[in-house]
Amino acid sequence: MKILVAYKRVVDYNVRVQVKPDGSGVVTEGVKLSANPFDDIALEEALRLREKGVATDVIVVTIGPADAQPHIRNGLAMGANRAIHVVTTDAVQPLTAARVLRKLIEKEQPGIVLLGKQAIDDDCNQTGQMLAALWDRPQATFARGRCRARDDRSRSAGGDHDRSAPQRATLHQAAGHHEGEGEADRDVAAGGSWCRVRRSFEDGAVCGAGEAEQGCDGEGCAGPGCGAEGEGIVVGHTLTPRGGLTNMGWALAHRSATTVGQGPPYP
Amino acid sequence: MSKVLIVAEHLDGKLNASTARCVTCAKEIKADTIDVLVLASAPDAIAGEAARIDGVSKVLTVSRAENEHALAAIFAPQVAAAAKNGYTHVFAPSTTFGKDLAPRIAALLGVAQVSDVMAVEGAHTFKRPIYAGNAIVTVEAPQDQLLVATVRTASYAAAGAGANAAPIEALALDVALPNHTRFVELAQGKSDRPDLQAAGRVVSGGRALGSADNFKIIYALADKLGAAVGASRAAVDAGYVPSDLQVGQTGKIISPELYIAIGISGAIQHLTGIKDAGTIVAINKDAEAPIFEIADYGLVGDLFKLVPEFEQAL
Repeated sequence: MKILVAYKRVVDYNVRVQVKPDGSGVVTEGVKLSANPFDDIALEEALRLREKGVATDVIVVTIGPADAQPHIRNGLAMGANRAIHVVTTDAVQPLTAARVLRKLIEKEQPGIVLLGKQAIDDDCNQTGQMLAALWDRPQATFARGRCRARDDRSRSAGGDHDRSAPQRATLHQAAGHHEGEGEADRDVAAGGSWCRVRRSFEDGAVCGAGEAEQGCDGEGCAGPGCGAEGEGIVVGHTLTPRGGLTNMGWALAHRSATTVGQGPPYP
Repeated sequence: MSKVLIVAEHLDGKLNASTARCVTCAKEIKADTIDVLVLASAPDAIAGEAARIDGVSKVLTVSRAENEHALAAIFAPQVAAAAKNGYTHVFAPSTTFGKDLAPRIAALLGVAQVSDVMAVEGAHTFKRPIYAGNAIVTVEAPQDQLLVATVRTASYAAAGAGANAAPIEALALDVALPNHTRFVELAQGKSDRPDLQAAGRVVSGGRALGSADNFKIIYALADKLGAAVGASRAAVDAGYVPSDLQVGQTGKIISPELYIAIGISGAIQHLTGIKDAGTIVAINKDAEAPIFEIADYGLVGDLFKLVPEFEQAL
């Protein structure tokens, strides 16, 4: 069984974000970017399931600009078998991310998709649930504790609710807790193959033509120009999200007037 | 011409106060009607409570056995179907219930969701917190489609209840429900203490408590004050308390009148969960702890000495 793990690159949680002077956005240039902490936990859980023999392959997926390569490679270094980079320079909202993942699911046919419960940049907490709806699968949100697999067909997630999902695939979100195990416990498969494809998404449609032409079968890039290290196959389309929210302005938050201004200085 | 549909949160036959807070938010949109939708196996008592909330135009009930427990996969198709009856907005509280359910509704409707609405600028324009509440973004949703939003309950007072008597109607929905998810068990801490999400007073402990056992002093103080108990993420991750006590960016966002933070350093991710509290009191042995920048009252010292003393003095 394959596990797909959504692996978002966000502003590092330690960074004290600044808003641009004209209020047109948050400053992200020159700022440390990291994997979303909850996605890291989701990845760890996926790797743990692989070690237990529940899964055979762990695939990380990132939707983001071309310069997110080091981030993706980090996912591979953590132990993922493969990585998929959907390249876009647009800001990706949750519904679009869910649609992209849905398309990748069609191709990869994972048994489970694991996502972090929320991204610490936009704090939306939507993508997992939306994907579950689009895929018509159960969702287990804010899951914590160990994932238990009962025969390879059902999973339950402990936490506030214990829901058993009799179907094959369960959507699951990893919450704050993971047990620290030594690095030696994990197989670190550095340099796994990865495909970098740019796909066109109009209402979530993937360009099937592009894939066939390039011969990317997902197992390892078989197309021309793809080496063992998995140098990307660029299909040359762009992600065009539609119908989402328009962000109109940004402002720094501060505590209400009755108490001290801006909050603590950050180490 | 806005018509708002609020999905009621309830448990054990009782309406959750988060519903009344959603009503307050809905009022700010200046909607023509604000309806409350109750999905339950036995909705009458819950619907009766909802009908009394000031500002509610009508209460709709969908009564079926499958609705006995709040499962997102079961509720979402029903809410999506109900929403198509001319509603412009679907609101849910930004609680565990609403966060689980609302995006599923949005995806079924094919629309974006605005999470954690903290201020209404217009019928389709809202402010919401991002980056652990460090920044506020103003978003505008497309006017030509339904809007799904979760309401940051800490930002809104509950609409008053009592004088209203909205009509209650059973709603017939022809919706196929999935059978891929079933309820097994709800393992909830049974407690006489107030519910953390809604409590007027909260006493929270952090990692400095050092162990699950040591949290006894927090519980004792909370009981003396009639308060709910909360915790920082660090304490939850360390296993001192169950995760439903977590307060902060990725836990509960609360707005009690009194919040006492014990052994909590005050990382920004925690502060975003409490910044709407009325009065914040901090006890910490580190005088430089960031929590003191935001606390209205601070006590620097060893919590293991101070908290029992404090409790005795009450």
